Amino acid sequence: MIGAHSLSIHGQTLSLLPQRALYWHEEKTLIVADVHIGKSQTFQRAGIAVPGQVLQEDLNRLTQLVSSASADRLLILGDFVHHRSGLTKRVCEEVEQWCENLNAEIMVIVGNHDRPNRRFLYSLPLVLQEHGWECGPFGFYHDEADKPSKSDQFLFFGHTHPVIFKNGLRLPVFAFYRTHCIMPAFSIFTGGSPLERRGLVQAFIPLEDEAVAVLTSLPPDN
Amino acid sequence: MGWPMRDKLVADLDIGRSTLIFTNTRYQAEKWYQEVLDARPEWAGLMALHHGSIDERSRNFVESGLKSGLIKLVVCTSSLDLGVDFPQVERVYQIGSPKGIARTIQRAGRAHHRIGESCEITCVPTHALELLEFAATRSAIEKGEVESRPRLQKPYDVLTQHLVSCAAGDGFMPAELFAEIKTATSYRDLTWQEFEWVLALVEHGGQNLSSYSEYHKIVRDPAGRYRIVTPRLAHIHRMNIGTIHSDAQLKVKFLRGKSLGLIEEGFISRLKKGDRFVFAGRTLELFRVEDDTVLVRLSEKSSRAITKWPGSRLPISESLSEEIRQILTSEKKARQTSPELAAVGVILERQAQLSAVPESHQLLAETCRTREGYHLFLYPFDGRLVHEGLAPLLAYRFTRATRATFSLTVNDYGMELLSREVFPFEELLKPEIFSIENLADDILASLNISSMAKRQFRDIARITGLVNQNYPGRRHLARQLQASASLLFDVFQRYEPDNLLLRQAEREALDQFFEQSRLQRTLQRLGSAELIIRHIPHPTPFGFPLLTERVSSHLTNESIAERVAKLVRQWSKP
Repeated sequence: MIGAHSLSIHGQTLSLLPQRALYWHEEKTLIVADVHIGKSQTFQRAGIAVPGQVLQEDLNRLTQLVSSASADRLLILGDFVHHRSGLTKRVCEEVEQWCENLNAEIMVIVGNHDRPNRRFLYSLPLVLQEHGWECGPFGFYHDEADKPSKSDQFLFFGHTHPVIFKNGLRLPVFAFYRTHCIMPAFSIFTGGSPLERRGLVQAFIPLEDEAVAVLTSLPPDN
Repeated sequence: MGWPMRDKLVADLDIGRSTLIFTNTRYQAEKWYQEVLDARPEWAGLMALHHGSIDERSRNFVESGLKSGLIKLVVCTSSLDLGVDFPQVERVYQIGSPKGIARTIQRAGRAHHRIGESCEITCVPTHALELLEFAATRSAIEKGEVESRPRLQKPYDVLTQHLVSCAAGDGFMPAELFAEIKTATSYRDLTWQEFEWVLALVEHGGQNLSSYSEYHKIVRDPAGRYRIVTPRLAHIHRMNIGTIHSDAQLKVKFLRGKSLGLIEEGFISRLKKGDRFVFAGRTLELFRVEDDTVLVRLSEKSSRAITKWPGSRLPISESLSEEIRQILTSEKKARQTSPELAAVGVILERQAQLSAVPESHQLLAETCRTREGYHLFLYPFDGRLVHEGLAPLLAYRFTRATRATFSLTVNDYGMELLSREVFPFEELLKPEIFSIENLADDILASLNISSMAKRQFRDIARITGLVNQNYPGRRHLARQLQASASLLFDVFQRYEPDNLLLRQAEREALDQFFEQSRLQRTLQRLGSAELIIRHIPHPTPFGFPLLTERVSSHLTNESIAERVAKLVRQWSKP
């Protein structure tokens, strides 16, 4: 995997990929968060002209990542879809086809954006996890608020889209804390909220198609 | 900010006479209002504050109070320059340089606004060199020289908004509307092709139909008239119409319900519950932020935190900069007649002693070595915008000869290039460096146009309705439709690099930020100017403001990845 940065947590090997995804080697699982399918269509329906290629490209990127990592499973940490107004017939068909053609099991943890669209999600060939998913030494949840009150596992969350703002750039980050990691949003058409600095151990900036930059000390936002 | 002048100003004020105090920014207006009130608490009921972020009802109240004589003193920004007439106003003050001759006259004209009467304005400098600007303004007015306003060239965003407005009204026939639009000066050169492109943009999102399959804003009825698709879209459009840009704004309200005005989200997001800030002339305590409303209560204690509004600083105009250079040439003789020059004389003498005061056919360059590195100061006196374009251009041309990295700082009078390592400024500073050959290419190479264009795109996205601030009811959906202009810019650049709105952003960035044609005239002037190079032991009075400014930008022509990699290396240093 070109440009990946590998880490070991609880004896497991994880690779942070420049395309805002994480690969768990032992379980052959590719992990992403916040795909927000149909977001540009939601905008279009509201009379705002945002290019719709975002959807196709996000799906293509996922397919490519799964195949280049030869992953057995694609795990989505919630907010797979954006809003019902963007789930038009065409979009639904496209997503369904993509699910069928993907060469891996798809598991989706239900996020706040998914919850109102469960009916559509249940119609797709994928595994839905209503609350979260635990596997070996790791636990996966959409929102930090959904985690179990006590856990010895290292946890992964999505939901907040952590970002560093610097010199006019908006840089999504993988944010690692002592007990958990918050994933960057996978979709390109997503904003973000400033990274929570309290307790932050390390942050990594995925630089699309190039590399993952390691931050050892953090600059102030500006 | 000009605090040393506070006592003098307050002593000069006469509450019996109706007075306006103009400042250049909303921040300054808030600050000065506080300062005057601190010095004269007994004027509390007679004084008011007026700027664009204050609630419209309060503003109307201030305006009518001023007319009826209830309010005697108003601290304001350009919000009161235009459109409103106050024949009662007797005195006008200007804090800091108004940066242009027409603006000064406009503001002075607020007093005794009756045909045939003359008017007067008292200028309060915020730093010594501003006296030069006042002197230049005075002499330009005496000569009757006033700058003209440049017109925008075919702003597609305004056209887009106009098409939707027409569709939301009685609808329009394209050919008729095109003919009508061409009669506006700014759209004189609009081609049918461009018009069709904008029409396609509002009709189906753009020329790439497949990527906008869910988008509809206007449709053609059987008679061929374009109309807006749904009343709801018309409603949203009406709520967001207008061209004056502002950041996402929140309403500021008292718990009991009285509305105070609008505040930038960015400012509020840095505050916690219980934090105090000054807004609309009052010290407020943040209670809670609810959706788009900031609930506050009046605070007993005072606060130093004053709302800062983002906004570009206005550069001095071309005519004014020309006048300043003239004034410097003849300043010795003029000192007897100009009180401003007499006051600034000490500083000019010190400047002449340490280095030189350039005449209008000369260009002064100073080189200096300090702990920070090797400085080049250059004083074209041509306004911040031109210098913002010129500094990176020169840095770029210097680095073509020798490898180096510069930090750049500019102000209205000049610029500073700072290199950490020894750099042969004297050797390379020749007329050729100001050549206008390959100017456009060099500008593109020396500037990160895309990040400039991104700033410009904020306005365009809002005017075309890509970013809406207001939605009727249904706040829930509004949240699903939030996207910042910079995010949209990235998405467009990736999927539709030919999008005309991006082109407009790029062109406006070049024109507005760097006034390309003005930059060209400046280069021609500098290329033929007599170059005075002085090596100075430490920074001179002309250079000092640059050192304190240091809103330095670096010469960047690197890709985002390179910039990030560099930032990361910088941050990682122990």
